[in-house]
Amino acid sequence: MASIPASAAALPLAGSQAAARARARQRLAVILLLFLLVPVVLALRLTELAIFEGLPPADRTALTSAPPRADIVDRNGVELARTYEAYAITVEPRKLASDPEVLAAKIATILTDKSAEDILAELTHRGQFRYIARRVLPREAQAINDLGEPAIYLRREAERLYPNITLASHVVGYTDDQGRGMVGIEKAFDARLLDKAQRSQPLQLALDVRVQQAVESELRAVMLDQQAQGAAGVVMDVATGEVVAMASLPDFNPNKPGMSDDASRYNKVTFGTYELGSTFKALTLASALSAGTITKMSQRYDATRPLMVAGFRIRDDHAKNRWLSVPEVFIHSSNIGTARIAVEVGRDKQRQMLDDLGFLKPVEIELPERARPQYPPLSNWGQLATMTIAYGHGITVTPLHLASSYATLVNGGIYRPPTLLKRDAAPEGRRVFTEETSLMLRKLLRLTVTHGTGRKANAAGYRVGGKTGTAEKNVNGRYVRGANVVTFAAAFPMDAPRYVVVAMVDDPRGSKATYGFRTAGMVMAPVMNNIVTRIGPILGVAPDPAKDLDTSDLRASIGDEAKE
Amino acid sequence: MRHYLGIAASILVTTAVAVVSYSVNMKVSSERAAVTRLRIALVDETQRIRELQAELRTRAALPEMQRWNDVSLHMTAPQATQFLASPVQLAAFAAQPEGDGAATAGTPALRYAVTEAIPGAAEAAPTVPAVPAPRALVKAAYAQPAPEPELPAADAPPPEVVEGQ
Repeated sequence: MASIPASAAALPLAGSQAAARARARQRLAVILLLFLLVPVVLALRLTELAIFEGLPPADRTALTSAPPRADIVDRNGVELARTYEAYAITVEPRKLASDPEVLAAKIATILTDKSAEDILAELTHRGQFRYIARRVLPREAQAINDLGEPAIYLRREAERLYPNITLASHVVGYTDDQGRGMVGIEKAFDARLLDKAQRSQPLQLALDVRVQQAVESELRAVMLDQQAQGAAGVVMDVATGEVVAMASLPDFNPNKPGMSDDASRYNKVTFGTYELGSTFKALTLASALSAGTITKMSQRYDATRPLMVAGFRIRDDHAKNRWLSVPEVFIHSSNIGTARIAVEVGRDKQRQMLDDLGFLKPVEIELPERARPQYPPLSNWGQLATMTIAYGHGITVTPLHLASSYATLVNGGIYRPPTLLKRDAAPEGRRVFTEETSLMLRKLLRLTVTHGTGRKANAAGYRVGGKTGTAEKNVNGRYVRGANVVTFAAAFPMDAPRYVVVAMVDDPRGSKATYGFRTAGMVMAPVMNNIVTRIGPILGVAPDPAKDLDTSDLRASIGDEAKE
Repeated sequence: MRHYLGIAASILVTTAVAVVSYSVNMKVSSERAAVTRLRIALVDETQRIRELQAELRTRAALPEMQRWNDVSLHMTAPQATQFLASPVQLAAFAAQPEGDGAATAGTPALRYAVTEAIPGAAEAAPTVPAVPAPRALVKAAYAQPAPEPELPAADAPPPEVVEGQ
């Protein structure tokens, strides 16, 4: 175009025409190249479309059988939570064609858990869109569809189903109506469960539902028998820290979380803190063995009379009123003897051990509901506190803290944080006690069950070892007379420990079965026997009356009345 | 003339290429549609399976099984004496001669289970020469039926048993 005014000029100079022609040819060549480039660009784009973006449309759409939220399964793949497409009955009241009162009566005969008045209220509501019922059975949905009312629609909605109803309800938790996790594993792993890439794979927990069921049913039996306020239980693998069962009673139905009260929804194992009483004596003895203040088991401690410290009186429940050897202090559960042992060890070592066991911070577990233990500040942790903490008073921890510390005690002394997820291999852990201390404690715990306060827990063939704990219940900082928290912390089989079981009952009232007693030895030891007998075969621990842990060296230093 | 022939040939070739390409295109899209239909069917089936599984699991929930057991089955956990540690122990129960009423009357009314924990225990049992016949072994173990036979505990007893009662 630029050449036209040049050619139209009045007086073309010599050579200017040739220059203009050359320029025009140049431009023509450039345009020609541009035109040639267009098909090349198109070809490239086509190749890209065909090869790189050429996936069939089916792969790009949401056409997948993966649930909108991943399932939760136990260690053997049994479902604890799953999502399914439930029917919801909805109505657009303004488009209603038939008489609402007749219709409400008809629907009420199909949906038996709704009253005709409630349904009528929804049908005559002034809104655009109302729910009549959610999570309706397919049969009922079909029946309502057959009524033929055009304003009533059936909707498929993804709903969370907990097939085992109340089982492990505190661990699994529940979701709100929008499908967001509110409590428990559902909340802790909300992002993982909703993640598009991972939701076709179920989330596998360390729980074993059979063990969970056995623990829950035994605890429920004792809770009803004792008219207790609650009960809690944990089963933990000592080698890996996996929590195989975690029960808290009373429980609730996560399918209908709104129907339960706050007390039932509260997880006593990780969110409740208790003074766990004499079960702490095992830790005190272990710290004394580590510190070297107990050099031999025949060493004796004065338990002739109650101990007076700073205006407080420390006395024994099963008083022997004499000097006791170390195994005697333990199996007769002497508060006086334990307090003396703890004073020898000293405050700093006691505190250090509790810190190493994780007792001074919320328990390490995946659940969001974790309580902070309560213990005296360093300024107030004097001799009296050292003494009372030695036998489990003046410090509150969760039952899971206790279970993980007992796992550390019996597994050779290595602390591994508890987990609710299935582990393939045991984590490194950290050493808290030596192998020798661990072996000695295993013997002492076994001796308590064969010769001491835990005799009723001696499940035949399972070599159970454990310690009872009876503590007065502390409500809002005051001890309630006659109200106890009874605990039994046990491990089995003691010759090669595999599982730790901690069971606790809150405020047993005594019953015929326990001759009115409310102590751990009477209430909890038989429960432990039942639990171990039931879960042993499930967990692959075979009872063998021929095997046992050799405690003859300790039996030499216990008094005649316990020997039998 | 030659000029028109060339044009006609090029039109023919173009048409032929277009027809072949289009038929290939049709074939591919129909295959794709079939695959999509299959996928939809698969997803539907998977969802149906999940629904049925949900129903099955809910009906077979462990608390429900426990209720069955508490109400009617009354099964208890196996006792330590019901586990056998070795084939020798098993053979000891079959040692009584057949037809000896006095000897069989004294056998305990218990059922014994060989533990899985000992590998080879179950396989080794039939090779013990002292066992006369498997039938005799069963007889000896059940010689005196107890009024309430103690069954080995199972956590998931089949509900049909209850319905039969």
